[in-house]
Amino acid sequence: MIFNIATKISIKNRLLIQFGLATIVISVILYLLIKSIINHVIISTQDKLLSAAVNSISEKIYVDKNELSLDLPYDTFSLIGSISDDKIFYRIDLNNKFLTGYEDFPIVSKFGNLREPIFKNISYNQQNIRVASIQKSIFFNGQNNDVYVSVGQTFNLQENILFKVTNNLYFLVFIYLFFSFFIALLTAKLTLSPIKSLANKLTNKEPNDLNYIKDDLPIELTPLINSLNGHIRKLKIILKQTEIFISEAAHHIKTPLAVVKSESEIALIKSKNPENRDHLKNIISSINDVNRSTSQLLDHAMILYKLERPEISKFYLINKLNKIIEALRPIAEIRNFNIKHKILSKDKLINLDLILYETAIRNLIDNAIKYAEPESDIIIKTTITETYCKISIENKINKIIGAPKKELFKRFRRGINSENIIGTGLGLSIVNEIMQGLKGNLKIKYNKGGIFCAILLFSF
Amino acid sequence: MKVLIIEDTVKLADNLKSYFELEGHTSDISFNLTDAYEFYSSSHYDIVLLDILLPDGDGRDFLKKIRLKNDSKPIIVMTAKSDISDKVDLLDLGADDYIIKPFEFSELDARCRAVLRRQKGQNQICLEFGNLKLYPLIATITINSQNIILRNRELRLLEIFMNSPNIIFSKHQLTDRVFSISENVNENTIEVYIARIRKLIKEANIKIITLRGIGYKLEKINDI
Repeated sequence: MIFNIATKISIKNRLLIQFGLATIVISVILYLLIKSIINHVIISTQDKLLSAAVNSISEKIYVDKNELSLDLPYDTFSLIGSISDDKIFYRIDLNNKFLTGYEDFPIVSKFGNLREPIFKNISYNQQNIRVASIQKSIFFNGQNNDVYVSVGQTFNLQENILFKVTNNLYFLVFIYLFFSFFIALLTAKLTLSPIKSLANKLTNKEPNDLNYIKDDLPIELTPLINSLNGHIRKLKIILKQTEIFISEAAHHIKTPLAVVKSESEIALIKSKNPENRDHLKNIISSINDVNRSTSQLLDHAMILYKLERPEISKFYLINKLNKIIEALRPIAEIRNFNIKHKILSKDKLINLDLILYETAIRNLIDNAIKYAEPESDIIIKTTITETYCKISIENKINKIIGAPKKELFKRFRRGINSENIIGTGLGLSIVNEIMQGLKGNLKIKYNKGGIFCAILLFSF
Repeated sequence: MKVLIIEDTVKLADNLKSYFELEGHTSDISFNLTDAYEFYSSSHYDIVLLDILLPDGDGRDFLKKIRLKNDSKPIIVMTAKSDISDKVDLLDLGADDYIIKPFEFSELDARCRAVLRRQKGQNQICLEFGNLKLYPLIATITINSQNIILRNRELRLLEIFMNSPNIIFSKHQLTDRVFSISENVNENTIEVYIARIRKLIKEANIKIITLRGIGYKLEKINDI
């Protein structure tokens, strides 16, 4: 049976989404981290070059004849410039007065010393510039003079490297994402395989298979398996109790009924008073009614039990059918009916639940005996092929059923021809349920000449 | 016919005994298995009615023991269980038939008859009156070497008369014994069957006569 359960996102998709999100986050972090490291490395390199440049300039500042002199180290500038296409700017100030270089080049507020220049990013001529600045004290003119040296360089090299690295990083991140997704898919599949295997096993488990689940499954599934096995155990107990209940109920209800009925029958045989006889007949009729209801309700309960736990056995179909007919023949004979069995095929050994088979046949013949026209024949025809069996039970009826065919399969539903005939309206519904359980079919037909025909079709 | 009734429900056993006596048969009752073995070994019975749940054991054990001795005595098991598998087991154990409680005496009678018919085959009990012979187990009458097959109700009715010739039976007595109580039968229906039998036995030197307001009886034509 398939139940429509409102399903949310599958565990697989949940895992994939989670893995995917984690991968994206990790990718972004990795991208930023690598970019930051590269940036840091480039800046460090640039800082070292700028540091060398300011140191080189500061070393070329000297006092000659009480005047400050400078030999600009063009080889240093050409060295820095040759590494990249970056532009070099410099500015030298003496006691906060511009001395040489680019006059409009911004002066920084803080200066380092020879060992530790101060580095800063500034904007100059709409360009981002990295600046290294130092302050140097030189004694001349009888006093200490402060010389400020700043050397700036554009970020072209850094940006070029970063651009190239970033392009490579995009590709690497894409490859990483692709492999991560593939691994996530594989991981999700492997993680879910025990659950899938369990789900398949439970799906393929026949409704009557009450064996415990004993597969080797991950420890996380142990509570679920324990719970399922617990339910199977409870179901087994309930089914056993049902069987015992049915058996005991039959004994405890039917034995007192048998006493009352036999007492009433003896009293009826001995009674000559018409009034008392009518009363006794009414009592017997009521007992029959109670007995019929009880028997069929117990039969129904037994069938529901058997449909849950069918016991498949091998038997010859026609041979068994003949035995059922012989068992019912005395009841038919009491009412002057003749049961004729027309065998249209060879007997065959079949695999079926014997009780379900017998109950279906017995109920249909029983119905035929109850509703057949007096002194008519009940005709049973049996056809067996390689795969299925067809048993039809025909009897003449003198009244119309007065109910749609399908309605007769409902519990406690009887035709209008059942007036004054003891019954519960469970017979055909029991047969129909058995046929559904055996994946067979019960058909009702009204043939010409007032013939009611019940057909059983089932495979074996 | 002599019947052994093995049934622990005293009232039911007594009623079965009463019924068989009213039908002109004799019977013994055993309320437990121990007595049943004693009755069975000390007397001859034509048929055994056996209950399953007995105070000192299972009726199936009785059945098994009898069959182990290759004794094919007709045994009908009376069971209250609805479970057919149980009945299948009973037949496999050697029961000739089973009847589910509560049952009508007419059904019990029909089953006894069917079992005896199967058991005895052509070695039939024969009831004879005048030049008519009735073989109840094969539902046949013979008049002047001519065989006539009877239907069940005709047989039951004629058997009643043949068992007690010259005895008057009222309509309701005959109705009770021929029809099932669960059937809604008018007492006048019996007249239809009396008419049928009269037609079937017209060649015989016996006749069913009507005693107006009293009933019917079977007499030899010479006696009339």
